[in-house]
Amino acid sequence: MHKFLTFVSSIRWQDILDITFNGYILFRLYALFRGTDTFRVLIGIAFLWLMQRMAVSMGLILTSWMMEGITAVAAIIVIVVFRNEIRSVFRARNIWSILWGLPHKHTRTPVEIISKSVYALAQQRIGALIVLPGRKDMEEVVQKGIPWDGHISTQMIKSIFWPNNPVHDGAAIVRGDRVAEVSAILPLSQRRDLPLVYGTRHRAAAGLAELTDALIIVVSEERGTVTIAKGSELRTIHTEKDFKLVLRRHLGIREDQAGYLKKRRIELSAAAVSSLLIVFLVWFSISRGFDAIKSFDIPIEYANLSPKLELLSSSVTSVRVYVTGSGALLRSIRPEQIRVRLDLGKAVAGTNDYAITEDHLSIPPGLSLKEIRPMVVDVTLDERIRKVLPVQADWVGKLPAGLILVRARITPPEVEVTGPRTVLDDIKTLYTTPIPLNNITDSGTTKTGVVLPSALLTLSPKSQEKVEVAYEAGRTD
Amino acid sequence: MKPGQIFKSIISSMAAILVALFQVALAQEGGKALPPPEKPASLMLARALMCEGIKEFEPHNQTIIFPAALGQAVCFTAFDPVPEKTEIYHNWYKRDQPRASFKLTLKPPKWASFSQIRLQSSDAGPWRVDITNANGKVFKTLRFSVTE
Repeated sequence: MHKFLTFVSSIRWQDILDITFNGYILFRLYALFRGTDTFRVLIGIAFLWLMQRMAVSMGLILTSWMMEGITAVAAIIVIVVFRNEIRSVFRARNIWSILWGLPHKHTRTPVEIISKSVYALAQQRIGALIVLPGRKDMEEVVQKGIPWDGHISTQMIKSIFWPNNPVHDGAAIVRGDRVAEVSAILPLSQRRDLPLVYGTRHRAAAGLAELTDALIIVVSEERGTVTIAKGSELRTIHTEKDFKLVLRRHLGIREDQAGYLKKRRIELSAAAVSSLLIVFLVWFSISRGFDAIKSFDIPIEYANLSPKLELLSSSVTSVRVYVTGSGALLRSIRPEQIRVRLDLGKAVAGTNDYAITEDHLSIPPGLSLKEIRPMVVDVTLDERIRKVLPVQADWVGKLPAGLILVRARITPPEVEVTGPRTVLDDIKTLYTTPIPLNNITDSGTTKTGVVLPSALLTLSPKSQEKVEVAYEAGRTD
Repeated sequence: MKPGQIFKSIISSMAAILVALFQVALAQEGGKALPPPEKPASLMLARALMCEGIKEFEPHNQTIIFPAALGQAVCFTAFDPVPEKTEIYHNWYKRDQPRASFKLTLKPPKWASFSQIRLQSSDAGPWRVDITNANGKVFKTLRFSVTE
């Protein structure tokens, strides 16, 4: 009980937000893809991933590699193979319905009118082929017909399939309460077990039913029968009552609408809870499972150093940080994600001792600090001052025989440098970069740079980086 | 006291008073007071240079480059006037690090003196000589280089 309470108290608001957000994404994926092949394959991939994790935890190296590879390939295959289905899920939906709305079947399809029309056609021995799409995309398998977009009525259906109508061949596709297309060409089934009495119209219905989740209505002009094709099943429906029942079931229209809605609500609630639970378990396995310790060498960052002070030295330039967390999380952490930052805002000239605590540390969520070594850092600061120093030429090499340099004049003779007081106190002279003597044959001038003896020193902005050395040559006596 | 002795002392006192009065009168006759004694002239550095040697009390081959093979470097200084016997210093530095210090005595009315160091190839680099008095006041800094 104590452990449980400790665990609950350790959950941060960020964790709750994390779980809720990802749980909602999972739930939305379920709501959008429910009933599609994509969803079933995604479940399969999730199962593969679970197997892979189990193989890793059991030390089955080869299996885990194989599972990992299959999972990665399967994820790509899903996108490629089911691209149309994925597209149809997102297509025709605005961002609001993707993020919030629940997909529902079109309940507006007028079952009564379709039923009455179909049986009227059957009675008059007029052949007909009507497609009521399911959730799967049919674009790949149905050859696009003629756009119709007509409000469904008995007269319209009759007129479409009237033998002398130019569009009576092919299938009419019904979406909602409208005939969306006519004269659509359906793929023919290659099945050999179909009764011989079935002609091309029946084969087309069986072909589309095999490839999609659509329901196809076939009216035989020879026998005056009504046949329904769905999945691998071809069933002749003799009564209008049974026909309506099949249609309603396909369209998701229930007699007991209230009961259906309640069932649907329960199903979605269960899906929402399951999504949260799954995400919680994943979060737990990543952030809380199997505590491990890992050390990182993190360079110390200094902040808020007064412009009047100079950082001379510190006892260490980096500290070793030991953090604990789940092994999975620790493996994914890069040293750049951990920062040690010392605030030098209150530091003074001289040596400042800083005890490094968790306050100075920034570590990714889900990890906690175990130890820092060393715990104390000595930071030596010095007052930043300006000093004017004379510049002296640094001659090197050898003058030609008989030649001497009598005197040299440097312009400007002095430069101003900025740096720590303790460093500048010991410096009385600045020297030029070495000036070679070998090429000198007579009096002349040369321009050369000034060497700063410490990296902590900088030339003041008003000082020139180069000085001019004018020298006077003479002959030895 | 005898009467003769009293007479002598009166005479000598009167003579002293007369001499004093005479001196005051002479002074007043001049129309002004006696001038204050003159302040002695301060020590002045007349010449300072680096050279390869000294010949006949004069610097020989003034230069700012001393090849180590030359073996020596000389700092020559001449002071004029030298009001009183005093001491000056030649402080030799290589790259701001003190390498030698010479105390030289100067005598009135003027005085020239020099200091010199032996050179080795390890001495290559920029040098300077600060010419100072006993209090550390720098008269002049001479800069030169020793080359290999």
